[in-house]
Amino acid sequence: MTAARRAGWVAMALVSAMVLAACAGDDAEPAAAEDGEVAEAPAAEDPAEDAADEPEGEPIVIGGTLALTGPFAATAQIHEIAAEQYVEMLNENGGLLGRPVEWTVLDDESQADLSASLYERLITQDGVDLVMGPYGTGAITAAMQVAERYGYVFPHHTASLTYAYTYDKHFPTWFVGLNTHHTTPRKVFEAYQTLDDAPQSVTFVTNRFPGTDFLVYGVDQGEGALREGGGALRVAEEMGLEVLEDLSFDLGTTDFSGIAQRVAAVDADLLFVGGLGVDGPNLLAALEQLDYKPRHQFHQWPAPGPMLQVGDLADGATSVTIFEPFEPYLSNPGAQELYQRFTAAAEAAGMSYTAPETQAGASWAAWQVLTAGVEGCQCLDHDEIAAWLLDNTIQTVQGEFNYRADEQNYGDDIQTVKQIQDGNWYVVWPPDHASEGRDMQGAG
Amino acid sequence: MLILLQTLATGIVLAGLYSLFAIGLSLGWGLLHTINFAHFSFVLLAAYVTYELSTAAGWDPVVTMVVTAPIGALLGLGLQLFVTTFKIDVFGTLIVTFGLFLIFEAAMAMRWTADLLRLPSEINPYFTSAVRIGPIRVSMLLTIATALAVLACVGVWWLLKHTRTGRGIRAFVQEPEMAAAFGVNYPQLSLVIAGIAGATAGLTGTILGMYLSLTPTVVEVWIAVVFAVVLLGGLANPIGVMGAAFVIGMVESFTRQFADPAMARLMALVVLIIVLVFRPEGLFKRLVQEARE
Repeated sequence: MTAARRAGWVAMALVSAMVLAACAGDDAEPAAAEDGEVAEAPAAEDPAEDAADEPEGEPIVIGGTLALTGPFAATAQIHEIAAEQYVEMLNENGGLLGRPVEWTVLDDESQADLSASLYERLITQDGVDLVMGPYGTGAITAAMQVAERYGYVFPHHTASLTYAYTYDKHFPTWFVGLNTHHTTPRKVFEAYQTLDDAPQSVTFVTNRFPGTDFLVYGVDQGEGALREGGGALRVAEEMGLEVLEDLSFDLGTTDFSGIAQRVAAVDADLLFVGGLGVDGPNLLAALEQLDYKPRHQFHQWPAPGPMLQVGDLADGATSVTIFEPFEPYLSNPGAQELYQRFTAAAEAAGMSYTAPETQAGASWAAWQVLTAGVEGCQCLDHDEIAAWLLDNTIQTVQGEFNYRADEQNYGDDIQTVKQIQDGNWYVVWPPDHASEGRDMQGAG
Repeated sequence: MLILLQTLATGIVLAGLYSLFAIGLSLGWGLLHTINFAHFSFVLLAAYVTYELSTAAGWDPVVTMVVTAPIGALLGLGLQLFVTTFKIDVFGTLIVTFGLFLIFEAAMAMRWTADLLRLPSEINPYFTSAVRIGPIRVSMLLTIATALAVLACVGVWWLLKHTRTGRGIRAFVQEPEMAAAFGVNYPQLSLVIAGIAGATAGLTGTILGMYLSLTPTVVEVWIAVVFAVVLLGGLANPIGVMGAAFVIGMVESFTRQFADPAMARLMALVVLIIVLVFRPEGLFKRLVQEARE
């Protein structure tokens, strides 16, 4: 074997290693309440609102990792800013239990296994008092095992595989409910059913990412409180929609020409994109090249900025959300602080989309949950914090969280449907959460 | 029939983009013995330059090629000077340029943050525009990439085959001592190749700057397919690169159209593995030999 060929194999090995080094997502869940009894949790109000004395004593150290580099860094940056702002606000307003708070964040490089080993280090070597979950499904799933091993309360903001988390002290704040594979698509299709030109047929285009796969195809077997079936595809059929095409693509796909041709060929009333990040804009551009615009379009987890940047192509597109920077969300506890602080910090960081929405809302809520638990039990004991969180209603920027132990610490699906109208996102469904003067709009 | 033609056209322009991306890497590897992992960083840097010039200075993104190509060429020259000066062998270049790749990634994250940056549609109409040939439509951006790829590959082929510079380089690659004895100044000639390879990286970057949402890691998804094209095409063979890109583009395009789209990239890599097992010199062994004669 020549040197050049040996080098070739080395290069291929390197390439393979890089290709394999990827994966994560977004979602979360709620925790248990005994016998359905819940008590109001005054401590869930942001401590920031009660201007307090300077914190004193030994700092309370909260550790965690984020994907500060690697493929998930673009979104993890949102969580970094939210965390920095929350901790800063906390310390400006008396800290936690009267003590200053220190946030130690390590870079997991978008790698789940690295995230797990860093949590091991944070807990066993650095001796952090509390932990905050990392960003993304893969890292959260891996890190949760470490938290469980040491009995740490584990709030997390962006895990999408609701059924996979059985740890009794995990507290998700992507508050979509355990059975989100049923509730999310049903909510979306119900919104579309209110239209005069309600869609009668649908085409699915799904990223093979585990979270989007779960939401579109559901699960074959239920277990405990997890219901079998579900998935947008089955729910669509149950609700009378005709499925004309079901296409999937792999993570990292950049060329959507072939998929666009198939979407345009069947011309369904609704295009359901089970995608994330920039999948939507890329598909829409490929459709535009064919002079085709879907009459109705839904996108599971789009990056909000790039969707707006494709202009008219995305007009009328819908998605689901748990937080948007306007009413009624801005009346929720802590929402004004989130909006003001995050927007300023994101602008200072030079981000292209500075408004806090789903990601920032999930992140802020995770910090609200953690601090509510500590303030609620007035302690740093993980068992007591978890018990308090399970027994109380937590007020967050997303609304009220009631964690239910009998649903793997998930609760109700409190998502709403948002839509791009006049070049911006607005909440349009359900009506009691709709932005002022906005409702679900049909084609044209 | 129309679907078949449309799929074919899509595969061709996809191949154009792959060729443009891979030609510089193939030249560096085959003629300079530099496995330039930093080629991907050069591409991404050029993409960010296109973004910056278009959003901040209001340039038409296509016009930014007059800046990105020279930047790429300068980076290529700089790397080649470094490799020559420190006499780094082929394995060493892989390690060194991989290190450079990581440094570039970190530097770009510091400059442009990890945020997703996309050229707004009003200054990047190419993103959604199509070229129409009868009922067939293909992406305007990929068509531009294909035109550039043909220019680059044919130009390089002509340079290697029909110019004194090309003959000198090929002679040195085959018989270094003999070529040197005949007065071939390899260090000087290698700079020409390095500059061309870098310039193609710059051009590719401009295309990707218009095609993708940029983050410092976005280029990683291209590594596998670009290396596949290089290895399938045979090193330093521009026509082979085009042929290999055609095969991969077609495999991907037909898989997306007629089978499970999620299998498209996997199918392309399966083709690579099969070829490497049965034809380790690549798909175009005869062409490679001819090009070297």
